[in-house]
Amino acid sequence: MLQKWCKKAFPKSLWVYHANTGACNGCDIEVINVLTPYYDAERFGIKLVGSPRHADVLLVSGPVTRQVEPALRRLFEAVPSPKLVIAIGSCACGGGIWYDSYNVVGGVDKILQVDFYVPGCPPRPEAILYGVAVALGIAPKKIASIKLKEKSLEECIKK
Amino acid sequence: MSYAIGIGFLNICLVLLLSPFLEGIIRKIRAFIHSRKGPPLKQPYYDLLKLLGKENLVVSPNFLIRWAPIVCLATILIAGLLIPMGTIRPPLSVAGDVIVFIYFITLAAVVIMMAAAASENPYAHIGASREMMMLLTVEPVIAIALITGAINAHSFRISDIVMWNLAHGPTVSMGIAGLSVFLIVQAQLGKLPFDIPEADQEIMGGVFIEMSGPKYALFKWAFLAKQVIFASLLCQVFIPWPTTFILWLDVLVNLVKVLIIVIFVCIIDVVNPRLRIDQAIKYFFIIIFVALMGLVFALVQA
Ligand code: SF4
Repeated sequence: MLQKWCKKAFPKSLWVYHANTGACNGCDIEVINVLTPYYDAERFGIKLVGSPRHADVLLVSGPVTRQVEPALRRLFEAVPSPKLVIAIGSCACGGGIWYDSYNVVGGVDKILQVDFYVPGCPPRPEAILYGVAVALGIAPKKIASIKLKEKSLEECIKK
Repeated sequence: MSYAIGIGFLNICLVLLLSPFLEGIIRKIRAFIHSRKGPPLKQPYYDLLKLLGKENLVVSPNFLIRWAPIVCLATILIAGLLIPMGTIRPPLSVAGDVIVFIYFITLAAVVIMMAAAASENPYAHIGASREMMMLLTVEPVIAIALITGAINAHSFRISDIVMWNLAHGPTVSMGIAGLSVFLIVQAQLGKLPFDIPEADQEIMGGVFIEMSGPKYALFKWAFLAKQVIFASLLCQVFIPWPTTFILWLDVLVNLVKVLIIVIFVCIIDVVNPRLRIDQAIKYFFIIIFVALMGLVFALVQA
């Protein structure tokens, strides 16, 4: 029973560890913005913690550079088990404007399994909060995946 | 005997189950002062449950780190049994008195320190050394204040001190002792001007930096329980008025008083910046002298 309660409590109290893996600091400032009294992320039980051992969520901002890659892997291991990874900003989602730089490995999903993406350069604080709210199941998703199919030549000729 | 068990059960419930709720109120007040909405009142319960359900990472083969959280919570619970919460006699008064209480409170802090030192993290070591300095200056104040009461009442039993206090009304010596305990409560609870060993922004949680999941939950719970214990100590032993000798009324009055003290502590916490350890120790030395003054008053009046 306790286990069930623990699982239920998990989305209601997310403690966030913020990792900068080479961001230009734009995303970091927006992340800090979310935690200010104006946006008040604490009302969802979100709290910024200083140690990865206390964290439930890894907020990663910035493209993953070659230097920081092993550190990011170790950081992920340092977080205890039910854990989420949220990629903040275009850079973290897929490399952004540095996608083909010589010193950049790529987006965070090349190294870790990312659970949620919040694109934008930098994403507005509202967008970050919205992303977290989607993650918590408070807000509905506004996008749906669509599949594009290529028509064959014959189908085109028929019409 | 069954009476003592009942009261003990009440104390444990107050200390264990009610303390997160108090924390919830504190967080609401803090949010109100920041002019934001704040987390729901149940938030600390969610936090504790979530932490209990997380993976227990093994950060060091040292057994200290595995046992420290359990010992810490257990000692705090025993300390909670040694303090009256709405009754004159604490439930575990057969086992000990003021001195045992001081032992157990100190043991909890020492256990935290040992766990931090065993976790092989430089930040934790800084936290542990700060905790040690705080302990050496904060603990004497509590001891002196309680001994003041003991000298007044000619007995080390907490129930005797309370009875003496009730019989004699407000006295200078007990007033000074109560004041010094009130000034020290902030440091004992790890609240803001003195949350130097934990210092979230500075040394990343300090002594608790390597504690993950259930371990951290137990430590956090111990800290929350400490809030109730120290607030009860202050308002039962040093300001025991009004006492009606009706059990449920006394428990209720105690709860209201605890709430008022906790709100005071919270407001001081919100409007103050963190002190450096040397500044804090200077401040504690002044309080030690204040407490000693209370002791002198007690000796003169005796
Ligand atoms: S997404 Fe934009 S703001 Fe964020 S790190 Fe990349 S370049 Fe900077």
